[in-house]
Amino acid sequence: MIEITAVSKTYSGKVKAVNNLTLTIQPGEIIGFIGPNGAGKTTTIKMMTGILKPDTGVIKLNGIDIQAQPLEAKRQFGYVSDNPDLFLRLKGIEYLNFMADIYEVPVSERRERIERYASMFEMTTALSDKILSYSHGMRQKIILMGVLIHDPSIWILDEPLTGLDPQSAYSLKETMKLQADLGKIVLFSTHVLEVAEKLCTKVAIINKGQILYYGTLEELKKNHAGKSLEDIFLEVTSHA
Amino acid sequence: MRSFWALFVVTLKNTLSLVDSGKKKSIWTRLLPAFLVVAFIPTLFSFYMMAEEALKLLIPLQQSGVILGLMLTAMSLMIFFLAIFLIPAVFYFSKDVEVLLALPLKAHTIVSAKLAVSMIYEYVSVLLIGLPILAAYVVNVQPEPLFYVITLVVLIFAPLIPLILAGLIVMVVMALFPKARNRDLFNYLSGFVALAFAIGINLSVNSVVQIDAQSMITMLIQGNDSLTGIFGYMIPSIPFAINAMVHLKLVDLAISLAIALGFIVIFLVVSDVVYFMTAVGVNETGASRKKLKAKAYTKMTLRSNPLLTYTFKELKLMIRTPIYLLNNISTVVLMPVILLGSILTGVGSDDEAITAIKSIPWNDPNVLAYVLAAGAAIGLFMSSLNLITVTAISREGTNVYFMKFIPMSYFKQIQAKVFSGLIISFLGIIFMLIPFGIILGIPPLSLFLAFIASLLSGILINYIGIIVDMIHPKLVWEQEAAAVKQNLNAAFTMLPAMGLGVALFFTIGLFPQPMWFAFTLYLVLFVLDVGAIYLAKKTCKKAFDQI
Repeated sequence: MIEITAVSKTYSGKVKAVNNLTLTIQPGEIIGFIGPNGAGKTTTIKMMTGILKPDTGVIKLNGIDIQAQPLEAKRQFGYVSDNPDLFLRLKGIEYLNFMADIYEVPVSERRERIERYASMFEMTTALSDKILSYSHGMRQKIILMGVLIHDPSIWILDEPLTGLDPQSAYSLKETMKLQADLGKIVLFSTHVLEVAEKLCTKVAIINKGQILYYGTLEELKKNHAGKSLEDIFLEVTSHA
Repeated sequence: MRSFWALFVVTLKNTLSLVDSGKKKSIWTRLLPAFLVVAFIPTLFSFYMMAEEALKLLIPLQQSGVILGLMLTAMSLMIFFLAIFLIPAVFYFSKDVEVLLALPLKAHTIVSAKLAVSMIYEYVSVLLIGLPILAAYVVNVQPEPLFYVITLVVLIFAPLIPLILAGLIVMVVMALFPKARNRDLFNYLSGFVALAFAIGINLSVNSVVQIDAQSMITMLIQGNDSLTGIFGYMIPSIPFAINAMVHLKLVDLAISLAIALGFIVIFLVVSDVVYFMTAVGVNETGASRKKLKAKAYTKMTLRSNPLLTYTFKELKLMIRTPIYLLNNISTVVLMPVILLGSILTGVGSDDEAITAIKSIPWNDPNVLAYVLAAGAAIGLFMSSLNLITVTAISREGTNVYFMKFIPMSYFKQIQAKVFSGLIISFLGIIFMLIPFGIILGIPPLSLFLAFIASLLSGILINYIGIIVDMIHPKLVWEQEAAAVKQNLNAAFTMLPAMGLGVALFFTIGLFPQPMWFAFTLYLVLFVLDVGAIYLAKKTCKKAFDQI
């Protein structure tokens, strides 16, 4: 479970990126974090992962406070940033094994997962090459595989579908559904409303650092009968 | 012309904006220009003194122009040398190339705008070499006002031909050898050529130093014509520029400018033929896209301790990034070679020196104290020189967030970074101590004790380095070189390390018994090591919260 309680973050003492945000996510849910540019999505995600420290409030991952017990909390999730340019001079296989070592994944499990996900994301022949030689989409895939290799109970993904080819995007979406079916949490930020519509059990619409709506899309549509998802999104965010 | 100008202005602004991010400047950033000026004063002053000494001998012989020829040649060589690195980075591997290739621009427009921006960079070299030598020339020769005008024109155009020559060579290499269109390979090759060049220059300078001043001047005067010929062979405009400056001949100035114009025309024609062909398809590194064989796969997926795997990750990234390999690791080989080269060329033919070295009583406690101090100084020197830990956080750049979300404590991560620095430092220490020990005939036990002292001082510098870089990392950069070469943090380990290294030798005399010095040295270094490790542990949580 993810529990975000009254979290705020201000940059340089002026710009309030996240304002008293509260959100609870239950196991088995796929949550789409939707909002315009600069809404506070990435800041929230960074606070959840320990990259940023909130000014106020508490974030708990599976009941563990990320500020009080950072190492235990960090073991609960896998994080894919919006920038996949990481350790570009490591080979794909070296990066995956490095992540497996950091998360202390047993040898048999890491091998089985590398083979499975390399095949799923069509990366088998790229593993022996440096990440530097990969396209943007391939870099995205190797970072995703680096998360999948330690099989976290919470997935936190910042714009994960950007740059993926249709086959890989489909594979990722199917994997997300599978993880949710296994009782895990998948939280991802996106600008693509159609993806959220097809994939998410709930959406959290955020703007100016505040949650404007959190619930199922069916409920949201019911409250705005006859309007498209795009119109609803624009209406909700314009009233922030 | 309009598109050239627009592109030039945008490229220049973009380059400058990397220097000035528009953010509030920290005290460090504000102090940087002053620090650089102060750092260069001794170099500029020594150039001035050298030029003045030479002029005192050359003026009576009416050969003062030789100094201007040397100045222009040194400038051209330095610019050409730097351009061999700069041109590939600017013409082929900078991030704007892909955008520019898609714009409706002619090849010569792109290349000439990039060349013009490169010229701006090179004026630093022009000023560094030109200012002190010209100052000495002006003070001693007192030339007429026209000299200043001609000199200004000559200096403005000074970087042009060396840059064009480097540009032509790079473009032709790119055209003839498609495999060179790979950033990593190109950087490795040019880096190792530069290393060889640096070692070669160092060794030849050492042998030149053996010649007394009078014979050097005689050689200089005798070589005047042939030297000018050599300048002319490489940069044909230089003899005319020298003539224009010395004899204030505007015709010669016009000829030197016409030659420069000729080079520009050749460059533009070649760039139109070659640039697009070579710039399209340039990549960062090679790739095989082959499935791993079962044996390799099994080997590469073995489990390892997180601290160990993190340390090896650091080392792999350093070795595989050409800029880091050359700046951080090559010193391990380069410094011992340079120092040993100096000793061998200095002592090699000097029988007195050899006899003096052979008569050193190495087992004397007083001598042992100096050996231990030398060991500690070598530890300080080699560890501060490789810049590994003092740039370890800076090298992460925008990827520093990775350190913050993985389930590994900050202290453990910085330990891994320090270990990577220590491994390279210790290699450097060994490469330094063993050959020195053999050449000077130091007994193994003394060498071992010196090695222990160097390890203790090496640990100290590596931990101080990581503390400095944690507190003030340089994380915003576009090219990896900026994280290492343009990182002021390096000064915070190098300068104290050098100072401490020298101070060690002066403290020996303060102890009544040499053994007391040895004991105190070990004890103080050990206590400082423990203190530095404790401070690093205390600093990391707070420092990473700020990053």
